[in-house]
Amino acid sequence: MDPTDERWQRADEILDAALDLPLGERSTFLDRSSGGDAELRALVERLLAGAETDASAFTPGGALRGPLWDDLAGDEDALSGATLGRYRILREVGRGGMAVVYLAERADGQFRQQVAVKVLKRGLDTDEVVRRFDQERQILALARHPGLARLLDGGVEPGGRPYFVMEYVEGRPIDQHCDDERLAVPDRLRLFLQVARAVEAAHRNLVVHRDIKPSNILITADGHAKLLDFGIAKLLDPGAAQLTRTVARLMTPAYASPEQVRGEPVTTASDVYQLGLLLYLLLAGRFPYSVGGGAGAAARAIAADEPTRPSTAATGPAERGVPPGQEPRPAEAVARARATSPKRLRRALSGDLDTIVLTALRKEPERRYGSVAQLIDDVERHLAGRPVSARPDTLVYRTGKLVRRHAAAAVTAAGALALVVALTVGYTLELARQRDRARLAALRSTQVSDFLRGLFEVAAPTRSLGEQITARQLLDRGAARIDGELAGQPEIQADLMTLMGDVYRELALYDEAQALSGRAVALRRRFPGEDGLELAAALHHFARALADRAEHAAARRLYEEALALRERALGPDHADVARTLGGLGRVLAAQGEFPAALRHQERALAVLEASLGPRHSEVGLALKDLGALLAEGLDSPDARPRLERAVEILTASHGPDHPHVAEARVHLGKALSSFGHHDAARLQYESALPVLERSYGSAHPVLANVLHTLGNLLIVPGLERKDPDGAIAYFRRALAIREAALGPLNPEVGDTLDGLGRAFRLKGDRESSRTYLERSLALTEAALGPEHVDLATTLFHLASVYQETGLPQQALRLYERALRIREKVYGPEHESFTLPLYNMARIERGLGNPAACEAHLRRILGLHAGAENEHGLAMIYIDLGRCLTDQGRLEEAEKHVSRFTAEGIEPETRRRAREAMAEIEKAR
Amino acid sequence: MVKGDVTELLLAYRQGDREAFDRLVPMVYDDLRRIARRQLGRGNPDGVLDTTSLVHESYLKLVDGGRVDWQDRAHFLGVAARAMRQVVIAYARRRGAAKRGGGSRQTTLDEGHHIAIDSQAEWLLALDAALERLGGNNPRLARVVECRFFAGLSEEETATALGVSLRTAQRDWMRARAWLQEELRS
Repeated sequence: MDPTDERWQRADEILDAALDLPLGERSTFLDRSSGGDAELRALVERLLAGAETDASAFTPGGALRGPLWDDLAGDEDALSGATLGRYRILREVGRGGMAVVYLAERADGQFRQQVAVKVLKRGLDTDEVVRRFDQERQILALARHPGLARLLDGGVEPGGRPYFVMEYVEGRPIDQHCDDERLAVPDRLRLFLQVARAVEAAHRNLVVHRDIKPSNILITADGHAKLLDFGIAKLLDPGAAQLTRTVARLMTPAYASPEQVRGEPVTTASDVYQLGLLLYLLLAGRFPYSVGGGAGAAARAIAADEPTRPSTAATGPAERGVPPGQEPRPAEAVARARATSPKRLRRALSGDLDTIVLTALRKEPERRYGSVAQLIDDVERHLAGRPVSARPDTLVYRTGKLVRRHAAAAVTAAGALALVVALTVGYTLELARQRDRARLAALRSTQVSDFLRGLFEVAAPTRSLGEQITARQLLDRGAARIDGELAGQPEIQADLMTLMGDVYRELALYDEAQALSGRAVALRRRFPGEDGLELAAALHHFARALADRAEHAAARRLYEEALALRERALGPDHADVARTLGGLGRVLAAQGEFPAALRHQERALAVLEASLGPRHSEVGLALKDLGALLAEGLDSPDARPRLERAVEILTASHGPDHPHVAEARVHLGKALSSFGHHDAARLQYESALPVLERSYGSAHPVLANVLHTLGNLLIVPGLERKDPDGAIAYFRRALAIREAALGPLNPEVGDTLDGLGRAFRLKGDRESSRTYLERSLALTEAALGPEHVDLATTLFHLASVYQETGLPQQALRLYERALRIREKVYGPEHESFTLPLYNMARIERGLGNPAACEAHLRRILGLHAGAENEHGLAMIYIDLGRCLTDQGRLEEAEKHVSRFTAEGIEPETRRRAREAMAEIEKAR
Repeated sequence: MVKGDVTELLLAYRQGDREAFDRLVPMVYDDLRRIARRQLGRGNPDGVLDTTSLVHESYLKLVDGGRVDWQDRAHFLGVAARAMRQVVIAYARRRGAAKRGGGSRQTTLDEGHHIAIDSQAEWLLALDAALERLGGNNPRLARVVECRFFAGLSEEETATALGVSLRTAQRDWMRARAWLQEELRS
């Protein structure tokens, strides 16, 4: 019934008028106004009846009664008391930026074991993050050491969020323990060594902790140190393509290492620094710098201030070097906590210990201890009275770069770029040589920068520049020249670094972009420019570079700083303020802070619209970001109109083949399909595909994701015309890419194999379907372990193929396995059991085991006890009736089936009920 | 959450700025979700949600009461009603996913489609679809349903929220119910 139908409108008018009339007059009125159209009259009559009944289904506020919300409540607050896999949650014990931690115990009564369960926060459970979380868990499980809290288990809770289970450690933070017990220096050193050895073990497994601080180190009742919380630990596997991004949690700024603060690559040397910081705290009871006064000041102190020697600090005034979150303590109190006097403490710390700590705390990672093992070695030497290896000025070999950069995008604009770089660098150097102040100022003006940037954006044909040099080389050369030739012109240096940092970004050379942008900021802090705007610009660009590398916490701080400067100088309605708001919004979204992200991006959009006009391409980009947030972060239908507008605007300004348009379409596709508009979603993905292929190349996993999604969309349930052949083609392409790029043992490969299995089944080719599903099964189990929900899904698929190809026993076994996995993950009762149980029931009946059939069906009914509308379970009841008939329990059977033969039951259901009744009669 | 933004948008909406409505809804949506979860967590075995109090709590939290009058408040409730509908429907959709087993792998083999598992969730989805069709032709009817059914607003609150007379609101509710039942039956 189409409401735009004329009949609808007519009926509505009649209805409206009829409602005004007293009951007695309605009939005649209807006769008159329907003008002989019997159908119309009947419709209005029905409508009238509907309008007047106080149908309980439509009670005001009726949407939300009943046990509907258990699933919604499968979140932070309501997990207490719930069962996750083998464990029962007791209560929440902690909450971080990314996850919530609960105390739990084993629910199966097997052992009295208390554990900590850490669940990823709602909103951070996108497919990508979940997969990443899972991979991290697998790798962390390998880094076993008595000093590391053991990882026990993991899974996905009913709401879809990943969790993992760790040993529950009860104890005091290490600094508190040492002070409470009045441990002397040697004892503190020994405890420190425990921690250092645990970190070393993690490093051996290629995991950098990144957040070593006293609250993350607990000392248990028996005096053992346990290092917790690998929440933002980073994987360093050079073999794995870092194509998905880690979501970083907010770090405590005071404990950040200089390179973390500068946004440079983080390596094992960061952990060395943090161990040095820990040692400093344990020995001297102080912090090496003043870190009060906000994140910005703390960051600057960490990056630039030289630490006070521990021996000096320990005996210094109470207000200097107060550790974060603590009260100032006079030197006497510090010494007392170390079972000594200030003078003796200073003597104990000066010399080797001072040197060891300061070496670990060096600003340049390559000048610290080369590894934790070396730090451990020196501490042990000191304890043994032997000379230490660290020298105040020792240069240690640098650690290698362990973070991969993305593949440089094809430099199609190489010519233009080369031109820009040459222009920029040449022009600037020329000016600098002339020391022409006026023209220097001109160069620094935004007009010139814009002009140069604009040159880059124009896709110019390649021009030969006399020699075959790549843009990359030009840039590198330029960067070197900036250093050398412009040493005396810090402001120009800063501008050029910012500019070139951006260019590196465009080329996807993120390491270089970050390094240059960071240096620009450092320079600009000394020369902030009028109203600090130049500094703000540098901060903004640096923050962007950091955000590209998923260093969200650092990016956020910088954006906030830039925002404050820009708002103050430009007022709230300036486009630059909007740009920084947008950047900040993106970072907040990446951190899962959706309400704040939403506010920022809404504001950014409003300002951009007002200042640039509603059709400006930047407005399009802002709409794209906002739409993505609404779709993926908030699961809100408001995403769709935003993204549609984004596509429209971006197409108008960049043409339909631009990567921005493609990205917007991909977001729109996701938004559409999550609301069931699969056909529309498909169109979006199909449009985006060729563009993405051009920008990312035909071997990039991003392309594979789109291909895989398209495969699914062609065979989604409920589609009128499914296209298994098309799906197979898409899946095949996705498979090829994934196998090549992610390795043949990656769960995503398993996912695509599963897709192929499904597609072939729909096509009717059960042989091929089996082959692919079996492959998927083997791979998925190898990649995700034997108890993963995705494995259960594939088991289910394969089981149903077996069921169809006359292999009932095998099918049963697989259904049972799938069921057991789901029981493990979701607990003893969950609606995802329904379909496996139903199919098992059918098989059992076919094998002549009606009792088993009955048991399964009853279990299904038990799952949905309390469901308000029993008609939804009609098929179950009818089949139950059949099973009972088979067992000769005809009275019972009739009771269940007869209900559905009545009038008003949906025809198909009624038909089946009647058939079942017929069987009952026959049996009599 | 800074009250300023929501309050300002609300005032703008009241002045007739349609876009303000669109921008408000997601903000309120997120807030409602969280309040709902909290309400459910507090030892609530029947899982009954007091939508009226929920919507009012959101109002108290998001809107600066000193700057708005009772009519603005009613308008807010109208926004909250739309957001509430989204919350409910989002939930219903997630139940569908739960039926298929969760995880990141999709199931496109769905022979169980004739088994209506969570009939309530499915009914809600059908209602939402019907509402969308209804709203295409007569947006006010859809809004009335949002106000009365999804947010539990009273007749008076609904009338004020939508800027119509009480009689119109009552009549619209009757008509909307009539049409929805017709739509859902087929």
